[in-house]
Amino acid sequence: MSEAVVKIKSVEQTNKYSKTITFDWDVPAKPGQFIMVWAPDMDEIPLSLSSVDEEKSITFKVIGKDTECLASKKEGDRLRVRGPYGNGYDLSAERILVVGGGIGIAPITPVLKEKKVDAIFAARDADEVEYAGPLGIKYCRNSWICTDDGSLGEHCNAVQMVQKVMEDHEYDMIIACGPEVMLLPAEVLQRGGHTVPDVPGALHEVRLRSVRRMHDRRAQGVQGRTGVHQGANQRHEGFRHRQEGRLRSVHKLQVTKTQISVSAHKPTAVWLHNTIK
Amino acid sequence: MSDLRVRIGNIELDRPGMVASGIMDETGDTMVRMLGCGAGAVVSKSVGTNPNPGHRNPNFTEVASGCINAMGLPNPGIEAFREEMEKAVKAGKIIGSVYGASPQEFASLAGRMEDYGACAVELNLSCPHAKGYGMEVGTDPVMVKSIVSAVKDAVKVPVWVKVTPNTHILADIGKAVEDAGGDAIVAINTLKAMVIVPEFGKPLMSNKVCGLSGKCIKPIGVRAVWDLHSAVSIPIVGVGGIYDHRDALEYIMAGACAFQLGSAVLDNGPGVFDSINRGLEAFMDEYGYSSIKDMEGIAHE
Repeated sequence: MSEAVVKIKSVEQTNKYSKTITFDWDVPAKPGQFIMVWAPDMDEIPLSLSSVDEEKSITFKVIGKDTECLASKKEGDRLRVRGPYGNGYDLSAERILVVGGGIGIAPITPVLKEKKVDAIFAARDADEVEYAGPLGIKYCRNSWICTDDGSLGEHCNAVQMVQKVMEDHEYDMIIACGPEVMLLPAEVLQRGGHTVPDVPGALHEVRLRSVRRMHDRRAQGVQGRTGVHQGANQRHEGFRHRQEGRLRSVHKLQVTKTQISVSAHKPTAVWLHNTIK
Repeated sequence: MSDLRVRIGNIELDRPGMVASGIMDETGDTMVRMLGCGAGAVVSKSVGTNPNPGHRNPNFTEVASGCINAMGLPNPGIEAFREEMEKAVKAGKIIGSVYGASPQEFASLAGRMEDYGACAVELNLSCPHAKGYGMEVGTDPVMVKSIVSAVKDAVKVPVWVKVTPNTHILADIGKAVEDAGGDAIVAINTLKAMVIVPEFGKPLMSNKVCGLSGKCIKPIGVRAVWDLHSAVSIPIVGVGGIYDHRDALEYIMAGACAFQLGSAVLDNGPGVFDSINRGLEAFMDEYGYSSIKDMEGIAHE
């Protein structure tokens, strides 16, 4: 963990919905980790790294006053950053399918650069996902695009796409980053036509429910608002997650690792990384 | 074989290290988890009468050899905390931490914690960044005495008082706790501090003033326990920058009968309790101490 005030190298429109801010920050980071970002006139917010090299980047959608403040930044402006936090993704498995949904494509991008994987890029429309196409071609073994409105790639959602892909591909692990609805592995696996003998779906529902419960708690002010707790929690796997004070941050930060034991030719593990909806 | 059991008044713990208030103790689940990690007991997050969202971001950062926070006592209020406590107390010893602005409020909150099954209550008279609470009521010996007396009248469980190092009259405050019948003193809470970001020309924390914890405050905490040991005869629990067994031993030899960990849990994870316990056992075996009690305050001799 480290902290710094960094100088923005560039602010680019990633696609119709999101922006990417790039800066040099010489700290080691792994795909899937996040940082806390602050500048005056905004709250400190957690954002996943969309690039983990010495030149780092954050990719975000404007969803409130803090991301609006970030979006107004220009080249040469300063940001105060700390981190990186979180365990990052476990990339030890041999055959990995990476699934990014919407803004959830950004945090999985560093995975593609680190390991030869298969990837699904899912989004609501072509505008949101077009930029990912070249990434898939450049870095992935196989990649697929799907959109909710059919304006690019397959006309289906991420879960349906996983189902299709798994009809003729085998994976040891799925890494998924996206909205909660995309992340129910029971859905992913069962809709994929596979049964899940060890009832991980049930386990999962419990976990997701506990996340929702935390939302409620959060609303009552139970939890602290510190981001580093996240860091600590996620560094020490199994800790109950504590989230930022504000509900919308909760999704962004929730990193749940669930080991799923399934019979042959099913993924043996699924990593889930929730983003905001 | 060395014995890690300790007594703080009439509370007996199997292990000498406790989770300090504010770290991994906001929910029943996290408290249960910490009890399973080698902690002898867990002190809950400080809870007040009403739900409190705490201070806005930024309210936490790491600094050289320490942590800075200005959480502002976020908590769900004593009513909603019942569920968390009831879950936690089934798993082990929980000390209920409370904060208030008056003796009556402290007494009422302590009573609720006792009802929830807390084995002791810890009065937060030391938070450095909450207006009207914490050290603002904990640096006046008269006020301290009246708060502790009121709580003693209201509960049967032991009453511990967490004190602030942000005072030049720590010994007087310790004596006020003892005179009012307090059962133990927990020393120390964070030090009043501040961080400014030069590039922005502004304080980093939304609350501007914050509390410093972690490795860098250990010598201050050890000195505070040393001074209190000379001033009072009730048990002292040492807290502030303990990361390994040698840190814990400094507090014990200064006069603490047990200790608490906060920032170290954040930095090193819950495994820090087991590693300290192992370190203590090895040290005690090597140096021929059979119990923690044998080492308590020996640096004074």
